[in-house]
Amino acid sequence: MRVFCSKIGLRLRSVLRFMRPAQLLQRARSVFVLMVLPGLAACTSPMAPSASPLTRITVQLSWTHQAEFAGLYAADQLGYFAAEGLQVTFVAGGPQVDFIAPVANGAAQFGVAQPADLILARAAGQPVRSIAAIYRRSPIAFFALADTGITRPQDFVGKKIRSAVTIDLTLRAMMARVGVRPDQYQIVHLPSEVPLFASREVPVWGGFINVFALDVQRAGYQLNFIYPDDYGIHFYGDVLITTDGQIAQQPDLVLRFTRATLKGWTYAVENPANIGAFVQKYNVGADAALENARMTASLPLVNTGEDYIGWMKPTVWAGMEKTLREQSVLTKTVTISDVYTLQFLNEIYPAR
Amino acid sequence: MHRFRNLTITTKLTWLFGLFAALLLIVVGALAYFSGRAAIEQAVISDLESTANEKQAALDRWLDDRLNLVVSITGLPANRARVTSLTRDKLDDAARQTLQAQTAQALAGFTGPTGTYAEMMIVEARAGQVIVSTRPENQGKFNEDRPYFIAGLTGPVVQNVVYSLDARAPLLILAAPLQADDGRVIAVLAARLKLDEMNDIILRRTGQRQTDDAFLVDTSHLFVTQPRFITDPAVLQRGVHTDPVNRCLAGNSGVLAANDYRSEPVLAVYRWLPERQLCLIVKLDQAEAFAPSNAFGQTLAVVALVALALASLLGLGLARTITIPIHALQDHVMRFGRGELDVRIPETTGDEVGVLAREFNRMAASLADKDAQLRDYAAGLERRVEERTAALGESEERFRSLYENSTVGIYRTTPAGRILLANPALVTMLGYASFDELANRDLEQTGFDPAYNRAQFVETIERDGQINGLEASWTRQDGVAIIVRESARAIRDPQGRTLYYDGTVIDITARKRAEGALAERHAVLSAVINSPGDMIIFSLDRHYCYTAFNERHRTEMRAVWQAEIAPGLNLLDLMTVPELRAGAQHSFDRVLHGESFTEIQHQPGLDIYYEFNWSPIRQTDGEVIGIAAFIRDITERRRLERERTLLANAIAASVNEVYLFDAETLCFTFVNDGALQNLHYTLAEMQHLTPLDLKPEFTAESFEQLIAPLRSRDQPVQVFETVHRRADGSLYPVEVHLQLFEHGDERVFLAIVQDITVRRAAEQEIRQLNAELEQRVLDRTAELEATNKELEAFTYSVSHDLRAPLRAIDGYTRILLEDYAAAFDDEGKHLANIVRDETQRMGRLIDDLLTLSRLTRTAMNLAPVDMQAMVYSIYHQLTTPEARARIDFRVSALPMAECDAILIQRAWENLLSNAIKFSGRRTRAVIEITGTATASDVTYCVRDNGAGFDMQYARKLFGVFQRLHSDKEFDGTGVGLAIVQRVVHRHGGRVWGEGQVDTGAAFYFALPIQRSPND
Repeated sequence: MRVFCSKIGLRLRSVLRFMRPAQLLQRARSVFVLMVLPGLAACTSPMAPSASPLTRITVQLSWTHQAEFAGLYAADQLGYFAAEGLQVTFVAGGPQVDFIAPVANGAAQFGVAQPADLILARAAGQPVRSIAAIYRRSPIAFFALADTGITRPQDFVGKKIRSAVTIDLTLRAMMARVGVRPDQYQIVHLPSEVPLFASREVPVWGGFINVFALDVQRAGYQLNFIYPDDYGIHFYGDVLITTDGQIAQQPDLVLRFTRATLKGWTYAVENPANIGAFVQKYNVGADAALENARMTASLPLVNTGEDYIGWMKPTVWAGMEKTLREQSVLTKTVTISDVYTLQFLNEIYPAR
Repeated sequence: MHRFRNLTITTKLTWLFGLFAALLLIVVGALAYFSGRAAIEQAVISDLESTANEKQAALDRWLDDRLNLVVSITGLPANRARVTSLTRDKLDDAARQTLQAQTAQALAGFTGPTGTYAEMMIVEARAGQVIVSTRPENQGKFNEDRPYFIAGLTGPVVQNVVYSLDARAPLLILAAPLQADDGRVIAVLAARLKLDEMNDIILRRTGQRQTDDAFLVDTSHLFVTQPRFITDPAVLQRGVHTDPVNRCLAGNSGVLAANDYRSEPVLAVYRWLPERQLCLIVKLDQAEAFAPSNAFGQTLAVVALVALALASLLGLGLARTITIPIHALQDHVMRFGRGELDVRIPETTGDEVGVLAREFNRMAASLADKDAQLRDYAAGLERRVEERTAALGESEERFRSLYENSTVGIYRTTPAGRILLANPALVTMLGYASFDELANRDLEQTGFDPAYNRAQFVETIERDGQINGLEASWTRQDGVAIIVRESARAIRDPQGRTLYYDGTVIDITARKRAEGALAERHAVLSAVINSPGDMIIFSLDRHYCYTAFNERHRTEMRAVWQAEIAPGLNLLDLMTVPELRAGAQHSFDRVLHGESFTEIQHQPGLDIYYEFNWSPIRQTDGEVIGIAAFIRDITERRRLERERTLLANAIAASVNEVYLFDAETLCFTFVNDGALQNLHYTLAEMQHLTPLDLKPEFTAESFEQLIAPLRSRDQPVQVFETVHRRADGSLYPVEVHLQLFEHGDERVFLAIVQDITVRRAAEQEIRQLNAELEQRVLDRTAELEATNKELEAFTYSVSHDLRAPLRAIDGYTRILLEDYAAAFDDEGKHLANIVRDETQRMGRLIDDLLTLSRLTRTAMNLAPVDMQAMVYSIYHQLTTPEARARIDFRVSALPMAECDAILIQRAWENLLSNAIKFSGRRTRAVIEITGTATASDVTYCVRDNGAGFDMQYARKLFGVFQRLHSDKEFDGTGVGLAIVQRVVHRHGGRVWGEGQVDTGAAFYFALPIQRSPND
């Protein structure tokens, strides 16, 4: 720079003649501006932030935003994901959404799915796998008004039972387990509306204990519950899923995601009254009190007192496969140990 | 520090004693306190440890008791008999119910509010069904997956606290196997414990403490027993993540001072109970634990304070014995100081104080002597003052005369503006009759100078102490303005207060007037030479020294020569470049010889032209006394002149014909040389002509029609082709650009005309060539189409016709093998089999060829195709489950494509079967299908980790019958990739491959995105 300046000085002096200062000044000024401006520009160009950037991942949810995903929200809102170097985007599911496909084809790295769908997808050749079970008991239960005296599956004989596509399998399997034939009861598919339940048209209703059964209880009805879990049908509810490729190529990412999510669920279990406010961050129209109640109703599903939050057992997976096969829902061959992995749970909960 | 030095000795000594004592007490006290506190902490910890031991033991004892009871119940013969019957016998419903009721009745004695257990159940061993329960609603349920049942089949077991979905409560269950008489386990007896009992055991308190607390936590950080300080149900509903719990759940035991679940500081003993997979916490608030050490600390503090007070008193007494003699000494010295010069101190002691007294007495005697001498001296001084006063009176008289007769005005005022003195000269100067009249004027109210107020005057003089040569215009008493020069100074007392201002005033009105006239003439000259802002003006005397110059010149000199010019400076001295100085002096000398002249100077570096006007300055008698210079920058003027000339020459020399003709008369006013040469007219002849004379195709009306839109400014330019007629009557084609051109109030048309004779000829030629070419292309295309059709028909018929003889060969060979097997030896059979294999291979080859030829002929049917679905379905068609187990088949999200589904399926089939085929030797084959879309096309890739190929043969890949691998390695016809290429080409796409031997191959094909017609 100094050499350049002295050259400029020489040239200026050589053109200095008798008079004519205005042009000289102007020239000098423009040379000065030319020399200085790039320097200024270099000084003011913003420095890139040096903090290591978060890894962006997408999680496909299995339903619209609600307390069902409380642990994920808690992990997001309380910075558990950020602490693991993750920035998470949630994609809401819904009635028309295939929420395994986005995970299988890579649009989302992780997803929330039902074990039956997962086993069927795996049997169809999709390389998807469960890494943790969030609802370690199925949220499906059957209920009747307390004054009907219906307390066990055997009492369903000769009655109409409300069900839904997601509930049929559990109902049939439970009835088969207690030795009731399909022609001894009648399945009806009805929308989940409290007035329909109150009409007593259908005495037994199948539903989710943290959704419709909760709505009925909140409406003030006393209920008898019949849990499939007490009759040999042990299904997990929501499980976290990812792909074989993800596990093979980025095991560390899967570990971090699982660890943060389970930490979020631990928080949710211990602070159910804070969940409504979290849900509202993703679903502005959510009713905070209702979501808090849903979280509270979900507690025994997430925290069974056995093992650890998120834990899975090979026997339960084998049982689910057996039930699906008995009900002829699963016809193709599938190696059940390919449907889940305990790799990450074992790392998060080292044996004592 | 300074303050400490000023304290009395007594205070100092007392302070030092106190400080020393305090320091000692703090050190000793702290040591005592901390060792006491450590001892207390140790005691509390061992207390907590023993509590933890006791609780752990109590828990174990309780669980053992309860479990033993369950085991003994399983041994009750009546129970065993009933359960054996229930599980083994075929009973009718009534008998079964009776048995169940009896068993439940028997167990009920152990349950209920008074019993040991909350509930007892018998779960049959085969299916895990609850066959008897003291709670009838649980009868019939299946508990086959519950840990207590699974473990209980093999021996007594305690199942940790779990959350029951149907009971909606935490449960603690014990179980033991129930055996039939033959020793077989037929059921599990389970008992649900009352959690309140466990709570009581863990919470049981010694009563010695207030804040002791204990609880159990499970591996999920959840409370298993109710902690004391939580009132809501906390068991399995509240979590706890304190440091002791975290350490404990990591499998450790120990002690920790930390905050508990209330965030209170506590001392906590944590203990991991591996058998139960639970964490036991026993804790006590630190506030309570350390209460005794706090009390001890307080006692210590009181003792220390008392000791401190005593030490301070001791210090005070000690100091007193030292300070009493010093005080006596001080008293005498003070009296002496007040003037009692005869005071003497009794010299009683021999210590430091005694020595001090003796020295003092000696000093006092000496002082009394000096005092007498001083008194004499003062009397002499008084006399001399009286003599001086008389001399001063004389001097004052002399000054008074000067004051009265001076022509300079002399005054004295107070700072407030009252006039104390004014000599007669000043009184007259200001137009007053007497001093008294002047003295009435308050300067604060009405000064003499309206523009310079009194406050300013006072401020300056107070700040500087004086004012020198202040020139001001004063208004006399009679209204006449005079100009004065005033000097004044402030007279101050020793404290610095201003007493009054003394000043002198001189009337300088006459002198000022003479100066004014000269300045006016100078101003006029300056205004004149500065008024032409673009002109540099200066004048020099005979010695080249400045006599005048304008501002422009001053700034120029400053910028160019860094010289600050002033009248009297020699201009040549300021020019530091010798050549320039010599040139300038030459010009100056010419002027001094009486010459007036103008010269142009060019500055090559800046390309600037200056016009210098030099003229001599003459006296009235004609003698040259100086030089006047007027300098102007004429660069711009020269540039304009040059441009104009250049433009005119360019137009004149242009090959294009340029015409100007009057907008009204249409007569030519300018015609360039190019036009004159082409038309063979002279300029003089042209001036009598109009465009109509040159353009035979136009009439006056049609030409007027053409130029009307130009006249009305509706159109900026008219471009048209026509013909021009030369002077000799010959015609030539031209292209004319015509526009109206206004300059001031002159309106002319500008026509730029190009002779297009040559262009016309070229255009004609091109048209002719194009026509010929088109005809040739048509002929050739028709030829090609015919040949192609013939070829396709030939291929098809040949392929078709070849199949018949081939089938015959195959059939006859089979007959030979089946019917004449005996006639062949083994070699003969082998050869016949080869014939069959080869004919079948030939058949496949012909099929592929037929496919290939059909691909060319069938019509395309474009529609959006879901490639991902297609790929999955083809893959499943092509593979067996065994093959799929071997292949890691990965398909990413593939973009849709607009294509013929049947054709594209053929392409995929060939690519996928190749990938499967060539990766067949890998134990773990990987086939990966990917796709990307851009704005113009979609590209798909099939990649495998198979045998691959050498890139140098990449060009041969897509030819018919081109095979890079021998039949022995991989079976095939060599037509597959040709089919792929044909399909892709029919879509207007591209296909290519990449590979490496033994590493794998990737085949790509790109399909253009089909634009629908309305895009």
